[in-house]
Amino acid sequence: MNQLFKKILIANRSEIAVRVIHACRTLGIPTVAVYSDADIKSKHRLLADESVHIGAAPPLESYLNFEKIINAAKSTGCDALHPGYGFLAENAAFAEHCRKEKIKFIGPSPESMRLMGDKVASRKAAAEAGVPLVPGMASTSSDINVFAKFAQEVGYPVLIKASAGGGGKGMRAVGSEKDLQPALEAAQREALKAFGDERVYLEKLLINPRHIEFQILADEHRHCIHLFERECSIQRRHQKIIEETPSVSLDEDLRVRMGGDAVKVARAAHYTNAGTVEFLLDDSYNYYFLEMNTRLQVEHPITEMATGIDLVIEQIKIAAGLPLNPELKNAVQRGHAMECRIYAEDGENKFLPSTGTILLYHEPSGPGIRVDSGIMQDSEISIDYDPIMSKLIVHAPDRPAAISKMIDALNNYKIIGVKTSRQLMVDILKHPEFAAGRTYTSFIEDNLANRVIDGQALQELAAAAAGAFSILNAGKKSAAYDGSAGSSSSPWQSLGNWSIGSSINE
Amino acid sequence: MNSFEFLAGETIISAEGEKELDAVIIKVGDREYRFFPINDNLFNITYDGRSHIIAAARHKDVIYIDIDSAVIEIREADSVSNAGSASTYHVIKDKVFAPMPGKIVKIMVNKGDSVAEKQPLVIVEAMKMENQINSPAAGTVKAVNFSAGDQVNTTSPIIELELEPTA
Repeated sequence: MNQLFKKILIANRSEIAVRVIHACRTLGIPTVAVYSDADIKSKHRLLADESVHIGAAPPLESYLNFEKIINAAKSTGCDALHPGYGFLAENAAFAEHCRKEKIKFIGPSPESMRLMGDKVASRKAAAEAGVPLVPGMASTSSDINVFAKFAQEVGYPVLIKASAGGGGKGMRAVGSEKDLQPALEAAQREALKAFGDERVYLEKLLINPRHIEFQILADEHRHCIHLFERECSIQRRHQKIIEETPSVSLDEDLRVRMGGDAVKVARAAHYTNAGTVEFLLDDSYNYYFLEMNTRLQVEHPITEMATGIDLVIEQIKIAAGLPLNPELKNAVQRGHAMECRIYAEDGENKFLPSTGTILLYHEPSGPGIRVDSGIMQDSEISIDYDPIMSKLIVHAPDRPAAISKMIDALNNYKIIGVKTSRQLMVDILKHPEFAAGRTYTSFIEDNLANRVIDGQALQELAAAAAGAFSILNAGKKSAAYDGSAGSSSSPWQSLGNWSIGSSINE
Repeated sequence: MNSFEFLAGETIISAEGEKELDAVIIKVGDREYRFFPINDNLFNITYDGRSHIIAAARHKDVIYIDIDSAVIEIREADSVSNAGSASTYHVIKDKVFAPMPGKIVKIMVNKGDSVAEKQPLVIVEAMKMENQINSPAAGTVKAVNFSAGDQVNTTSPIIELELEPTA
């Protein structure tokens, strides 16, 4: 194969930058990383073939700065740019800027991004394509009477949402008519502040839905396919933490219908590259279009594990103008894949962000275990960026085996220095309701709100381990005693992709 | 043989141990833990019939132990009372807690007795095993809050001491 691009700049950081670099290496394309002051000692910088410093830690001065990123691409001779997700991935103005500078943006066109980024416009496009929507207003309004009338029609509870919205901002649930006016005003204020756009509309609030999304691949030659669903119902603070595929709640008929409708939405947006169409599924198995994400998703690896398709490689091929390989149409879901997101947050205390230095880092390994990580021993977890550190992904023949493998992998994933939600995720995975497949977006509040952690049980064992640690490291004031370096003779260090003390170049 | 006094949460745990050819053996009361080092920071141990990897790292005066998916903070009781932040923890040294919830089998001292450091004070039965709790420091028994046969948790002090002033 001829080299698809001369050189690719990765306009992102941490685990997704590392993920994209891996795909580029597979394709034989040289890579350029960008990094801020906070990422001088970062894994993505070390792994890339070249790296360019783009400024101070605050995103506006580095990872969100158009000029600095474009200049880095031009000065290193890059002819393409991968945005990852977050930062500039869904910024249509940035994609336009790349187009003007003749740097290929590996993602959809700015036009598709604009259409799908506007909730009301994307609902209209989906409705015209014949795809069911959550019942709601067809346009925005600022008239309380319009909201009251619609709420009456679809029935309370309802949800006020920002048209420019995302991330729960400008969003208000309303239980009854008397709360409508203040909620409307609050949502408008919040939307204006977050997006510079106060337009809001109203939808029926579905109770206890499941969150099901379909992976889309579309080339620049009008071919568009879906690569099945991902179920992302296990969430905390409206953010996903455990995802799996296939979903236990879809049968073949429903999968075919939803997948077909996902493709219709993508076609309506003249979509190209990788994208995701999100649906809500109610307990009567009615599904409703929610939104389209015009980027690679955090949870893309489970689709890769189940289908054997490397989505980032496909993104790069599509951006280079290649048609989709006809073989992709024969993709099937094999076995069961599951992902746990490893955030630097306190799973035992309201998911408060946790910052610090990674004192010790050891990844699990074994058949069907994949770790997409942006951190290493000594990495600094700062407050400047999203707290996701890594993703643990497993693949097994069926769902019970995937759950069991994930619990084992979480137990053997060692991270000391910042708090994580590993223990909470083990408790979710061990919960009989999870095993039964009753996964709804309110799962954690419904099943684990009053969770009690038995801190006593392991204290004695931990103290004994501290004794063993002290004896083994007696008299050493070396780095190893602080957990900042490993010795080199252990078999464990050669097992994982990125375990302690191993070379960064694999 | 090395002796340790560790603080896990509010519990003082006394342990002793030594390195053998292929393992480090740690004894806590009657229980014996056998750790096989993988490297300086990772150990293997079999408990409940299953092999587990345990990770350990030290930062300042805390040893962090990662067991299964939990990270537990362990402090050296000595370093706690000598450290600059002693006042926060010193209060623990004059209180004697059960290492785990259980039943008091025997209390070996009375109010007003003077006790030496490491003198046996109480025996608590938990998980069908008897655990002898020794005095964390030299001093005088200020209060005995429970009697034999009582159920105790890990947060109510069984015995309170008046510590001997240290030089």
